[in-house]
Amino acid sequence: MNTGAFITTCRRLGAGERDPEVADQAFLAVADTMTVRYAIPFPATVQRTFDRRDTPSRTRRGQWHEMVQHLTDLNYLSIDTFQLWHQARAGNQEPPPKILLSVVEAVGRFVAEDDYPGYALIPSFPRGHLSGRLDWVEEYIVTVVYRLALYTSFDGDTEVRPRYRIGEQTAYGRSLAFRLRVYFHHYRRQFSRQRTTYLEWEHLPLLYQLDNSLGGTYKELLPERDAVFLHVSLQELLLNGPKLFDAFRRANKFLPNASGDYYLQYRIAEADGDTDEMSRREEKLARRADRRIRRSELHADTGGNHLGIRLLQLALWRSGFYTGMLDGDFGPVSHRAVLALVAQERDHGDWKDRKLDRVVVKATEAGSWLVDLKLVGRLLDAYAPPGEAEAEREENEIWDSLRASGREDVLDQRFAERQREVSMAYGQPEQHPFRRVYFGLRSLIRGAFRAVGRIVAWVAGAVETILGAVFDFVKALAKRLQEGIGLFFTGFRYFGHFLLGRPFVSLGNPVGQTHPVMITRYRIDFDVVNLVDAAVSDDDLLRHRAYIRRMTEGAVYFLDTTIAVIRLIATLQPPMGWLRLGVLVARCVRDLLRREGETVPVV
Amino acid sequence: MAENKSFGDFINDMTSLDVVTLTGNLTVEVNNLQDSDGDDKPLKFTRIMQQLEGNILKKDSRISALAATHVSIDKDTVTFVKENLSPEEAVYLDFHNETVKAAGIARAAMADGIAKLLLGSRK
Repeated sequence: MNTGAFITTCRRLGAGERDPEVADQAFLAVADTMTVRYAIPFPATVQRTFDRRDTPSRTRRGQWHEMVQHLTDLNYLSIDTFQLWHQARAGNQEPPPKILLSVVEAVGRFVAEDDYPGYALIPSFPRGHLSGRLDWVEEYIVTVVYRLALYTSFDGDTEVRPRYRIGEQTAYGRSLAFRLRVYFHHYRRQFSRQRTTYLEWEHLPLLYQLDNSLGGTYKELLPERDAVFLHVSLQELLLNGPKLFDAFRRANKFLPNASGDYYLQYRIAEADGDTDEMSRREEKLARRADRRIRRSELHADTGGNHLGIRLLQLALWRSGFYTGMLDGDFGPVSHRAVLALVAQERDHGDWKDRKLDRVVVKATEAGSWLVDLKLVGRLLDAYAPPGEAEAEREENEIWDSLRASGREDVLDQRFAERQREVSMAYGQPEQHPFRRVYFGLRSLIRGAFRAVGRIVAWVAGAVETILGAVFDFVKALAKRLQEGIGLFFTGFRYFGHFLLGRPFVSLGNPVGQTHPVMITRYRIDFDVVNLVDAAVSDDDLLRHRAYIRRMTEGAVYFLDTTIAVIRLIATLQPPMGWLRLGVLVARCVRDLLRREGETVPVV
Repeated sequence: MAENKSFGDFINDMTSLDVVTLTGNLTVEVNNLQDSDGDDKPLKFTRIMQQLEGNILKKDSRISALAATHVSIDKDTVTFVKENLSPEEAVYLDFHNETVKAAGIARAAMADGIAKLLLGSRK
């Protein structure tokens, strides 16, 4: 089935047709075609998400990995658990039951601490057996990850809270504490695995240290000893990476229009540097770098915690170039990230080569390099996350470029394989448990948009460079599919049961070579038929009852979402690739998730 | 209501709610539920239904009604229950009664869903 046929089916559903042929077409598209195209199982269940023999579950597993990272960053999960999770992933194994239990319990704690109004629309997180809680996580993973990602984003996605109280034990308090760990903890030290969970009074001196690094700009806003609230400007500073980077650059006078210069000298092992013979221009630049070093025209002080370097790493990480730890240590991974940024800008940016030559310069001394932080900061300004409307426009342009290149079909066919090519860029967290993947959607879209030509070339198989735009594109697309198609698939089960007359079927424990069967069917005229085998046990019947109860509780939420998606698809104009259709569905789903956070009163 | 009617036709049928619980011989064979290329694949829904339809249509299928409940629009409720229920069958009656309760909730969700599907109304 192609997208044109699916769009027609959605139009017929939206027009009120429900003869068996329409229903069959819809199920064929979702359960067969889309399952394979998007690498997401239908129905999305625990068994199939982690069943590695059942191939279409890679995208779904990716969402679990994202969830585990967010839960770790917010200290609902320990670093050790995070590492064990990824060791299982890297070993192509299912997560061990003990680790899975930790993750599910962590979700329960998060949901209890998060004040998202949208939770009022879905059943409460269950207590009791692991299986029931696992089912809940599978059912509502999109909502949970959507919320978690807001708390760990550096794109300014987290709204500041004027009524936030210092020390309060909420997901928001964890989010603020997470920022302080990123900006101040040195992860390589032993204490790094023991982390405080919430922003507490003991952290307040760090805010004074932060203000020192920012030249005392925020001195008047710092909390005093008896303060209860934290000023919203300080909250915003912690939550918004580009804003903090700007404040640091302003304080150190290296914003684009400032008169000052700001160079960072670093040394890396020769093997990691460029050992090729220098060109005349490179020699000239190296001599200039030597002079700067001799005259100490450097700002070696980037804060006691190397805040300046951390912020630079953060900006490179958001834009898809940096895959190391945010540790303030400018080593080979940071070096490669800056080189990758310059290389991408050389191919796709606005600057002339001679200017780009000056961004990062090798000094004469072996292994010594000088990076011009003013220039690199200006380059990174182009990667700051755009607003929602701008991000949508840029995302459209990326897809328009793919279509214009004639490569959209190729990507559609091969995304699953090509997606694997970027796996090394994820930083091997099983070995490096403090490395992170960035999931801020607007930053990823901007990063991809910055070098669309590179994405088109990658799809054509002509580019091997992954860091930067390609990495951002793959992450953004995978995230879109996880969120949009993931929720649609879950919701389509409800749609089938409640609006297309598909029966709920449970199999009892086997009796010899046969299974007793329990069936409940909701018909559209509201009649209900139960068919129960005489040999079912009480346990069988209890499980079937629990199944029906759970589905009924989620019916309003999922019917609402699924119908909105079907109505959207009915308006689309073929021809259109499946991946692009997935992106449009994801936008609709994200819009619903956002609105559910705004329109429903807190319960 | 016939299956090939549209969502719009349901309005004429929604004045009442009927829940029927049937019991009998409703087993399916384990081996026929899985794909031929491996024994670890998920159970195939369509095969379950095909088997069941085959079983139910047999002359000796022994399907019988255990309970039926009719709920009219003014909420008058009438339930018919098979005579002389055995203790085992009493469990099914609990299940039947719970289904009646759940049907009320599902009914609201379904009516809301149909309205949104046809009219696009959103909260």
